[in-house]
Amino acid sequence: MKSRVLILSVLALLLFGGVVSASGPREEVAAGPAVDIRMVLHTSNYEVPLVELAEQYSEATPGVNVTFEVIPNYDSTWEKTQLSAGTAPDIFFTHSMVEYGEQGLVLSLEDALNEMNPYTGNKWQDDFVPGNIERYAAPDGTPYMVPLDMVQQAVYYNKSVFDEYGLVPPETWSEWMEIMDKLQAEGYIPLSINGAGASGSTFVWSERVMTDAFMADKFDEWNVKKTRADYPGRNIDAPDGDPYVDILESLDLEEMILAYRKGELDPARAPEYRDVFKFLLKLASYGGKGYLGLDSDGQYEQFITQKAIMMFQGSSMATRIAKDMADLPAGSKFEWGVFPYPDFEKSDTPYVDTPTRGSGGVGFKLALAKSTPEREAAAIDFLRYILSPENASIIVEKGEPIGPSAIKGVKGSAVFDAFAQVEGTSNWFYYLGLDSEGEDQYRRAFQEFLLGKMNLDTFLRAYSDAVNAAQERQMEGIDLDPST
Amino acid sequence: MKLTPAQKASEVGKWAALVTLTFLTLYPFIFMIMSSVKSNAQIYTRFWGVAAPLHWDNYAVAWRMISPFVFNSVFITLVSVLTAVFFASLTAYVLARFQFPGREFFYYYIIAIVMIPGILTLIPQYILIKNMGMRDTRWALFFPYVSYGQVFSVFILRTFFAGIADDLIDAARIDGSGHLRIYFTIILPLSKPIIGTVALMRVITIWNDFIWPLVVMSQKKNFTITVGLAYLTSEYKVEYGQAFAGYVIASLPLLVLFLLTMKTFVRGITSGALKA
Amino acid sequence: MAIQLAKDRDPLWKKIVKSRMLYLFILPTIALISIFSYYPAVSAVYRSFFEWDGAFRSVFRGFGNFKEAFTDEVLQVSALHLLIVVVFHLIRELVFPMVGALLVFHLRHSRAAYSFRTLLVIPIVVPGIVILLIWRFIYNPSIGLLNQLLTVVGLEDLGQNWLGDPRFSLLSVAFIGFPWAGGFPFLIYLAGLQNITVDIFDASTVDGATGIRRFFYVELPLVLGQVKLLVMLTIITVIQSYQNYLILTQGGPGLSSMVPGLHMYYVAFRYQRFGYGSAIGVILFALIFVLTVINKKYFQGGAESA
Repeated sequence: MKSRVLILSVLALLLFGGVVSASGPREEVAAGPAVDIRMVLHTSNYEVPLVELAEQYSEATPGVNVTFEVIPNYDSTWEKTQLSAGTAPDIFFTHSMVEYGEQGLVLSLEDALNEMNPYTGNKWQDDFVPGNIERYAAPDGTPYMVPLDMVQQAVYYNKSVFDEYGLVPPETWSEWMEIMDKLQAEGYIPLSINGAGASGSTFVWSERVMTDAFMADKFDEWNVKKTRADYPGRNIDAPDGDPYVDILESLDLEEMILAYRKGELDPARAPEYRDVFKFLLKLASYGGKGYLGLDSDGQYEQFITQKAIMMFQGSSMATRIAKDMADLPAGSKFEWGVFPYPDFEKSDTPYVDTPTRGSGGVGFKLALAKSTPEREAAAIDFLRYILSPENASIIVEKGEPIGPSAIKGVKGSAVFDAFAQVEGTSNWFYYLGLDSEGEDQYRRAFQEFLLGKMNLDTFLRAYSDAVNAAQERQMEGIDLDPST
Repeated sequence: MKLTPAQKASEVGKWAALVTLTFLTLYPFIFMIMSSVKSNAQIYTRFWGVAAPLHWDNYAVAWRMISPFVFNSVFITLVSVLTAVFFASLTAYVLARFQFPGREFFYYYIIAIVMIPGILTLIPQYILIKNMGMRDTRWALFFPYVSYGQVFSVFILRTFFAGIADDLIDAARIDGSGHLRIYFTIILPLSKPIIGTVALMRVITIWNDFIWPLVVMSQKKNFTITVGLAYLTSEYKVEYGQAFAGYVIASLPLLVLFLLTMKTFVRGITSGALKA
Repeated sequence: MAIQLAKDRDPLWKKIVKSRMLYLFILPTIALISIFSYYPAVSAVYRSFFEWDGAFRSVFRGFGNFKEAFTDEVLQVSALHLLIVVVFHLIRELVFPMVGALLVFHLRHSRAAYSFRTLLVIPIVVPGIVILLIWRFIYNPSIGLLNQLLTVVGLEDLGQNWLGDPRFSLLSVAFIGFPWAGGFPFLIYLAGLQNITVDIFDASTVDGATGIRRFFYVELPLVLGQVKLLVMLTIITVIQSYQNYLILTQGGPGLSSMVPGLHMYYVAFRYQRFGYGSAIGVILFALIFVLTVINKKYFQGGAESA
């Protein structure tokens, strides 16, 4: 009897083990030293073409196996953990490629870009729309990423309604306010605002565009890493007039902290910030009910159902509008266009230094994780393959592009043509060094301010405190010596 | 039976109220089904009715997007529930019908888990899974589900097992059956309804779980249906019709299961399984 | 009759040895819950005294986390919201399903009663996430069901951004599931009502008790067990649940729909402060514990259930 129990139990355990292990990941038994490359993006815009290209490449290249996958919404915490554990994907999208590059976690692409791309016959660097690579390079000029596409933001507007009231796209802030007043009087929501959109928020981009225009006179002073002075294109105008490209004057964390300490980049002490937020408050008065809780989809819906007449959004919306517009019944269709963010005049604020610049740049930035030489070489080769004009066109056609391709000669969708009017690209002080916790504090204070529960000074103080606390948390390894 | 006018009126009133309640309860689901064959443009403009053309392709697209999630959920739920109920029934059997040192202690050890709320254990459980290297694998879901599923199941089953008439058991003992044999031939068949109920409740709990799979899985291909659906509709561009089609598909497995086992289930609940 | 594998007069160690097969059978259960429930619980309490990033950095803070929790403005606001939400949920779980159960129970046409019961129970099998996402669409400000309905009846101006307006966000989420008449509570009350024997009913009718009087003096007392159970369950569940808020409002706009559980989630998984997050978890656990003890002591006198 006892032995039967034993046998039964063992059998049960085996069965159980068999069932459960059948669910686990199957180990790929590689024939020979195959190299496995992983490419990861955080959204599925280009999933379809990239999966296809990965398969094609794997089949055509013996010994190399490329997989593409989407890991949704990963953030820098995930990136850092993966990189330090050595389990990061070989090719991945990131904002922080310079930081990782300087820490030796991702590859410098300087050499690779100077070599010839076997798939096009050009120097690899020349395959790209000029300026993008330099723009996101480290202060010493080392490139740590290659661009997949480009994005831009502009103000979408309902041209049919504009025509109905004899309105034309504004060139200055005051003209814009007049249009808003007129539309509001007629019962429309002048501007659809996504107060809840995390990064793609009307307020975040407006703040960026405004601080850039009001503080341009100080960039040289703040940007202490003199080696970038040798860089071409530090001016506002793009090298060959291409609106998506401009050399970005980015400050690193150390420079930001220094400027903050001086008081010039401190929301509580820098007078420019007062005006920025006065303007944002004015803008908010034209949003619809409950704009604070509207996300980008909600913002889009207000626009497409013509409840709202304008929205400040990115080029990715253009694809969406075109698609839905084709589907709408005749009575609901309308003409639409975009205009660049209006300029400020001295009469609006004494601090304005330049016309308002665009707020776009590269969309998907691709960095390569440091690993073994075989994998690095394979990853670079795969990138050259998919970023050759022929394959880049496939990516644009079969994916859902958020803007034009960053590869020269790729004819993208016509919807993005309208964005050619936007000139230049603004600087962005990347939240003044705020981390997740600081961001939440800032956003909450900002919303209190917009709701009228906090006055301007209290809010600017709260903003400043959040920045200070966040910078303190990230101070490790920073010596605040301007010359280094 | 003849009703007085007052009784008739009262009956009609109850009917009206119930019809209203039922309509309000079910309308969101009806709406979901109607909208699942629309394109976005149709939702913007033709809201209330159904408009031609009917976009049945929404279901094809939705299936393509959520089928990995559905398979993940089905697999995890099936394996976890079967394992949990298996272990729980063994434990409940031993605790119910045997006397041995520590019997009471172990029983209370198991039941006391009820006092520990999920909110306390979420963080350390996550760290534990991470340190065991199981993050982003099915094991990360499997072990906690089986573990937590024991508690309720052991509780219910032990009560039931203890209540089984002794004569049945004694008769079998006299015949010379061993303990395990008794378990399989007498106890299990008798407890089918209650085991079914317990299993069904575990299925519903695990199928619906959101926070834990969200925290533990990062790759899209590992998502369960709950996390997958939330992810699909949080992306930048939402196709409502396809999303609704996805919701319909996601509701089907449980609906089918429920229809098949409804009698058992309702009997199980009303039989006083919740009396204690 | 419990079976013993050992003899009464055996010394303890011998009893254990003779019962060893039994221990083997309960081993999986005991092992699993020890590793995945007890250990995390103990660990949570331990870690709540540290500032911990979940990986390398762990700094002892004594009661620092708890001090911080009591001065944490976000937590204070959440606590207030929790109170509101608990009260709201108690009303909705106690009143509406009971009304539904009574209606079905007292319906003379038994086939119809059966049908209504089946229909009202359907929401149980729809995955919670689906219900949530459907309601998110219902609340959509531009094209959602609720605002469209208001427009159709001419009350367009009453339309709001239900989830995105600080005035409505908290209660809009709590409102989900309207009319709250079906589901588990409904089934439980119905079962309780059906357990009342016919004799009691006949007796009460003879006494002249009908309708409302009958409810308050006959039916309610006899289903009190179920009601108490549901009260306790509702409170414990609501204190811990935050996934609705996580998906629909993320606690916003501002802090208008923040609840303690969600704050704990953000503190741990967004700010990477697992020590402080554990402390919040411990506080919530203590709250639940205290409420359970109070409930057992003061409200569970007399008959446990019908």
